Amino acid sequence: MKKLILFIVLPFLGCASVPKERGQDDRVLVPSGLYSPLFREPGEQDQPISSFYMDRTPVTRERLYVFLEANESFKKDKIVRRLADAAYLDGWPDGKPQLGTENWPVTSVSWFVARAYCREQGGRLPTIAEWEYAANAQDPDNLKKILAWYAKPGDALDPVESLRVDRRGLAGMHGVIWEWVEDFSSVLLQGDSRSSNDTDGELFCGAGALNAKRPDEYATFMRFAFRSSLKASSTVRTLGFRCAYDGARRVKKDGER
Amino acid sequence: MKWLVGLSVASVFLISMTFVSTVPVAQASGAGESIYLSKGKWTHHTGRVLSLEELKGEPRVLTMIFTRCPSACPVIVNDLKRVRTALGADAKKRVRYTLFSFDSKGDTPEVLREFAKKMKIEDSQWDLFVANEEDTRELAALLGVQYKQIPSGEFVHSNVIVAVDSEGRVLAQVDGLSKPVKPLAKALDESLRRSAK
Repeated sequence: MKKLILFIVLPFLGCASVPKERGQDDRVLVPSGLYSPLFREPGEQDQPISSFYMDRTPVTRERLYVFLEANESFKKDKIVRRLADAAYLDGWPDGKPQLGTENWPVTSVSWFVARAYCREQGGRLPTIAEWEYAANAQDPDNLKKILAWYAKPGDALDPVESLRVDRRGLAGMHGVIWEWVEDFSSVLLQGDSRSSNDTDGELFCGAGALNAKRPDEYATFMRFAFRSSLKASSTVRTLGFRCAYDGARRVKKDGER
Repeated sequence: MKWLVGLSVASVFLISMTFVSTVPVAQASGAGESIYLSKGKWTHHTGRVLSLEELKGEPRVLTMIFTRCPSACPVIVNDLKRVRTALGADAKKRVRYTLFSFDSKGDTPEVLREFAKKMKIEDSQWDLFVANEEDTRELAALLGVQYKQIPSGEFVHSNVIVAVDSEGRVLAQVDGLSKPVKPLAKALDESLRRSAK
């Protein structure tokens, strides 16, 4: 009898949930481990990554719309150009996602908007190290497809439920959209504070591409090159995001006041 | 194998062209909008915590540094002094010079005060600030400054000097070290003349 009541009650509980209350199914625990950067500063070691949660899928247009309704200053017709360029939410007629695209990954959003969204969910954008570490769970077959997509990123998006799931359980990390990271601007191109140009040669000249001997390394190189081309206000039709969340133990960061 | 390398290099060009065409650079500048829209909390070298909003009132010259910086940062402080020299009499009295630190951990108010002493920038026209990593990254993004902490603990960063009016709106910007500062001084002088009218 008890079971029967549960069967009756449960569906109703499901209906009552508002979009903001996301079940644990929506997040994937990325276990701790070591991140091995492909491009290194002299003396740079593998970087320990603490376990963290990550959105299972990229953030959808519907979810961003809900956020915008509660945060007027980020709306398409309100936002200041310093926070998002003129192509912000390109293809949203009347400031709403086009009918039938609600469940597609949201794109054409700036770093400022992505960051504000994640903060409201109690999260943040993943760092480059976290994103690359989490994304390194592809089957070899998939690598070729990633490269093919990088060579020709298109506009054809799909609902997030239909995205390819990797071994960690994360959907659509590759082959659909590029994703914002917190420290995208730490990829330095030129004119940095050092007198020598050692970063440039390793990261961005032909040498960088030639050093990448394996296809997965080349794909990583493409991501770094792409990040370096962005400003925080940039919006691109193939650039979206997903949020990261600190693990159960919220460790106070150094320098936090 | 060679064709693969050739293909790779070719697609770098192809893709970088795609990036460029999708980011409308001219419209991305946000001219006329205040830098102070960042909600971050900053600790002044005197120890007082404030928001950027509170920097309104006087025109300012803004830049980002860290005090352990061996080479570029003393040069950038000197660039700010050159701006002061190039200003007209009115602006010389009013414009303030504001240094934001990259180094959330290392640059305590005390360290900032020592740096000010060493650089001979202790008079009341100079303000030095430090914030947590999150707020620092947001301000850097607003100023268009790229930076990265390297294993030695130092920060690799691009050098940007920005002149803003009393509301925090960008008047002029100079990228790089030891560049001509005339455009900054001229913009500040003109802004004060306009507001006096």
